[in-house]
Formats: sequence, structure tokens, C-alpha cells
Amino acid sequence: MTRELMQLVVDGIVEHSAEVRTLALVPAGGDLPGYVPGSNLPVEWRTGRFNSYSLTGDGFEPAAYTISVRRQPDGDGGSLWMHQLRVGQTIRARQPVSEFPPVWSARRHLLLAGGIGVTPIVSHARSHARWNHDFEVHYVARDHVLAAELAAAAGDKLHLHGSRSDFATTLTDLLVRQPVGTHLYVCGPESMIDAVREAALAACWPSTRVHSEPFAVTLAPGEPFTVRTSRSGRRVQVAPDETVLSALDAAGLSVRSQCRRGFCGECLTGVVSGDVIHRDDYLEAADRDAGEQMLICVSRARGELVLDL
Amino acid sequence: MTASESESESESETRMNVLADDEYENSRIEDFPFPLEKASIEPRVDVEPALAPRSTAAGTWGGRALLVNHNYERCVRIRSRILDRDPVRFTSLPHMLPAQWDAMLFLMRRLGSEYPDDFALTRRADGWLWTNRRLGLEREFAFGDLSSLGMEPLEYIGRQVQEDLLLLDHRSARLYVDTVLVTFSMGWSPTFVVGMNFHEVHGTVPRVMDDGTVDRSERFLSTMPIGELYRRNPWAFQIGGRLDRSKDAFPEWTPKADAYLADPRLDTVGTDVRMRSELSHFVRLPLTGAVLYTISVQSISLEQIASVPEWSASSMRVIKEVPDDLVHHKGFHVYGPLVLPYLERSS
Ligand code: FES
Repeated sequence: MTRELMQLVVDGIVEHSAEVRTLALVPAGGDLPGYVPGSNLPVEWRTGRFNSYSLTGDGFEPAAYTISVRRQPDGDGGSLWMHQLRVGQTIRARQPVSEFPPVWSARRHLLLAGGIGVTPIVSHARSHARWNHDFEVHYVARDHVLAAELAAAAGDKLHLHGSRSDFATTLTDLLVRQPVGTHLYVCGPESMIDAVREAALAACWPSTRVHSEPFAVTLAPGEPFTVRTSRSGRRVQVAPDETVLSALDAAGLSVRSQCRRGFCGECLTGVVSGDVIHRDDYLEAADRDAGEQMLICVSRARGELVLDL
Repeated sequence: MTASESESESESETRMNVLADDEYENSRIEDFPFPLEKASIEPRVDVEPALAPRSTAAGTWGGRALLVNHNYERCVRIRSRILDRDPVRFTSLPHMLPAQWDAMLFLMRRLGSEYPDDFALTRRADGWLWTNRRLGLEREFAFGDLSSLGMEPLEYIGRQVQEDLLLLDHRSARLYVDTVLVTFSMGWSPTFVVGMNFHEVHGTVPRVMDDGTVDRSERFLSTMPIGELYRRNPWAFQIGGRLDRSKDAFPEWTPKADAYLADPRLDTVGTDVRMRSELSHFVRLPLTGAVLYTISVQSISLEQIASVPEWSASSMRVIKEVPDDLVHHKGFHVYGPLVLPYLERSS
């Protein structure tokens, strides 16, 4: 899974307020890959540490990746780092990850944004505008930092709300008057997502038409740990974004593998000892509990793992 | 020439015709994706990352995702003829238009990078220029503008690749086959599966429904990282080189195949019977996340298999060891009695 990181240069910065800035990132060389609307960009803000930010373009042939970042003084430091970047600096990022895509077959799209959660909604709105889809946007915030961007895509289909209580009265009405086949997308604070889900349920919306959370299981990086091979007596470090398989490979210990995604079972390996975190889609629950085997292309461990190799 | 000789001559001519309509030529063993290097016949998640070259007892294959070989012109000609005659072989639900554009660009880019002498996709000020030197085509088009292609994007590119193409859309936690451009399928009806979900499509393959393989395959396909190519290599035996073996065309070819099987020519079995590989690639497309599934058909004759002792041995082993419930699915009840004696004789 360790794909090469992209080198991106900060090409432009717009300060919307003391809290929110938008960065335009261009490739240090070559073309930027396109992306599915609603994708996010994992940016490396400290070696091996990534924070993901929603891309706000429609994903087609991007000349630049644009992300908007809210300063979070009590966060892990990633947003503060993003806020001290200056034009011309080079940063590193992974390929965009799609975890909040539009449903292409929907008859209509109802987009609800709260606060800085507006960023993927801008991306969706731009894509719907490109494809002439039927859609409507509601943007709830004290200061509507990306209102201009949204208005450019949505025109009179954009509705601004100054507060959540203000929006609450609109919401119920909005939910009941949507035609069958409408899909709803909400991005914002968790409390807003919960409130929208509840209201949708009360208005008899099928839960499969309400989208808020990532649906895809991605191979997120994990904590680093050590692997020891009991037969060949080797000791290998597995970095956060490596897998056991790739780490062994790099150390010159080759193990049979095929899909490298935890589906086929080819890399099944005996566990001598260790606290395994299973992440495959192959083993039965009972096998996992037994803890005697693992799929080393995806699964990880805490502390030291001893493998029968 | 005696009377009986000329009679057998014309008889063999009809046989030749049986084998010649819509045919494509055999592959070379040097780059044939021989599917039985790891001899296992169980339907399971048999996927691997694509583009890694694989060596076989006779050569290597797999460095590219798309096939453009000596059959290229012939394949696109046959496909165009089928599409003209039977337009529903390309069927796409309306919401798949963005995914079609996505797929077309993806295929054009790959063709350009895998066969730079033959194909090129070039950025123009307000659109693109597509060049296909094999067919002598040049086309300027604007993304999203149907009139600049003259037809829907998947059909446009589908008429210029050897592969059959399918697009799968992910919704309500299921994958749906919402677009097909399939003219060379083997015993299934592409037009019948449009709009079906992954489970419904696989309803006829023994075992896979019960043991969760379909579920796992579906999860695999719908969670592939965007842009990463994977492949699998299903295969079967067939008589002759006819490409279109779909259910839609059964009346055209099954009687001839049945007639052959009822009275096989033991002296020509080695060239009449072929192993057909349906090397398939799949990728989640970068702009829509839809899954593009491509199938390229290639074959080699029993004679060619017999020329590689390792291939001959693993083919025989697979036929002999196939579990009972899969014998019919793989067609071994029909082909086993033709293939086994031939390979045994020539090994
Ligand atoms: S390589 Fe397929 S499960 Fe690990």
C-alpha cells in the first residue's frame, strides 16, 4: 500500500478569516491525478503523520488541489502547521482518498453543510453543476467562508442559514418535500450529523439515502511495531504506513502473496506469539480469536509479533 | 483427385467454415497468459495486483493491462459488426454517463502509455486530441460534450479496444452492473445483466454463492483504492476461435459446436480445440469511483499446449482433479474426453 508521496507546492493562499484559509497546491512536476467528488487529501505535516483535508474542486483534471483548513489550536498540531505555510513551500501528500462520493444514480441531491464541513459539499456541488444534476445546498454557519465558491456552482440553489436553530425549522420541511429518489449528504459537526439523521429517520427516509460517514474500509496506517521471525531469527520494524508483508519484503524475506488486500488468503502466516490486530476479510471469527494465524498483507500487531517464518 | 477425396475435401471445408466465422487467431505461447501455473480450479477470490510481469514455462505476460496484438484490427472489426447489427450489446443506464467519460479517458491514457507508437491522448487548449494510428483515426473532443464524439464515450472507445467493457456502480452497499459493452462473452448474456447487482449476476456459478466468495469479491471491488489496477484470469476450453459466445448468439453457434462435439475429428482436435483465457482487469475510476471491468479474450490450441510439457501436465491434472460440482460449470464433461486423450497421446 505504500504508494509514493506526491510533492506539492503551495501556489496560492486565501485568508478567509483569522480561522480559515484556503490553499491551492500545484504539482512539483507532472499532472495532478483527478479524484472523485468528496475526496480528501492526506497531507503529511510531520514525518509519517498525515491529516486529511477535503478537496473542494469537482475532481476533473485539476490544475491545483484546493483545500480549506480551519485552525484548531487544541488539535494535534496539523492545522496549525497548515496555517503557517507560505506560498512557494513544498509539502508532501498521499493520493486523494474517496470516502464521501456522490451516488450517481440519485434523482436529486440534497447537500447539507455545517461550518468547515462545507468543504466536501463544495466539491459535490461543483460536480453536480458540471453534470447538470438536480441538487440543492444548505450551508449552516456563523461566517459563510466559502459562500462565494458555493454560489458560483449552485446559484439560486444555495441557501444560507446563520445558525443551527435557524436551520432546524427548515430541515423538517425540506425533508418531507424531497421527491422519492433524493439522496442526502451531510457534513459538519457530529451533533449536526446526528440531528439530520434523526430528522431524516422521523421523516421516513431510508438510511441508505442519507450519507455522512466514510463507507469504504481503507487501509489506514497504524502504530509501528516489531516483527521477529522464529525460524530465520530476523527482526524487522513495521512503520505506520508499511505492512508486515512490505516490511519483510524490504528486508529481503519474501513471503507468498497475491491480492495484498486481505482477501485471498495467500499470505496466511502462523503466529507464534503477539497481540494481532486483524484487518483482513478472509479469516473466520473463530480463527481470529484463536490468534494462531494472520494475513500479513493487511493485519498488524501491538508490541512485538513473532511469526512462524 | 478421386470422388471420395473431393467429398471429404468439401466436408472439411464446411468444417472449416464452422470454425472460421468471427474467428480470431491464436496467441503466441511466448506471451499467452497461461492460467494454470498455479493449478487450482476452485472459484475464489483469485485476484492479484495487475501490471506485474508473470513468467510461465513458455515466456512472460502481464506487463500491460490492455491487449493490442495481431488480432487488434480483426477484433474491433468483429465488434463493430456485432454492435451495428445488435446495438443493445452496448447498454448503459443514464446515470452512468460520467462514468463512461471517466472510463474512456482512463482507457485512452492507458493505451497511450502502453502502446505509445500506436495511440496518443493529447491535451488541447479546449479539449483533447485522440490519435489511433492502428485505425488511422484522429478525433478532437471536449470532455462531457457528446456531440464531439458522435456517440456515447464507452461505445466510442469500445470500438477501438480488444476488450469487452463493463462498468459497475456502487450504491446501497452493493455493486450494480449498470453499463455493458460486451460482444465476446462466453455463455452469458450481457444484455440480461444490466442493472443487476453482483449477487444476481453470479447466481449461476456453483459454490460461489454459498461460501461467501461473491460477497468477498464485491467488497474487494468496491473498496479498491482508486486508480489501482487488479487482474484475474478465468479460462475455459472452446472449439474454434469464435469470439462471440454469448447467450444472445446461441442459435448462431451452438448447433455447429454441438455437431462438432457429436463427431469430433480426432486428427484435428489439436488445432480445433483451444484454451480460452479471459484475462480481466479492474480498477476504480479516478473521477467517479465506478469500477471498470475489462475482459480480453485470447486462446491457444491444444497443439500449442502440448508443445509445453509443463502446461500439458497441469492441464491434465486440473481436468482430472476438478471437484464433481464444477465439472459441468467448466464444461469438462464435454471437453475432458477430447482434451485428455490428445494431451496424453502427445506427451
Ligand atoms: S495477499 Fe491476499 S490475503 Fe494477503
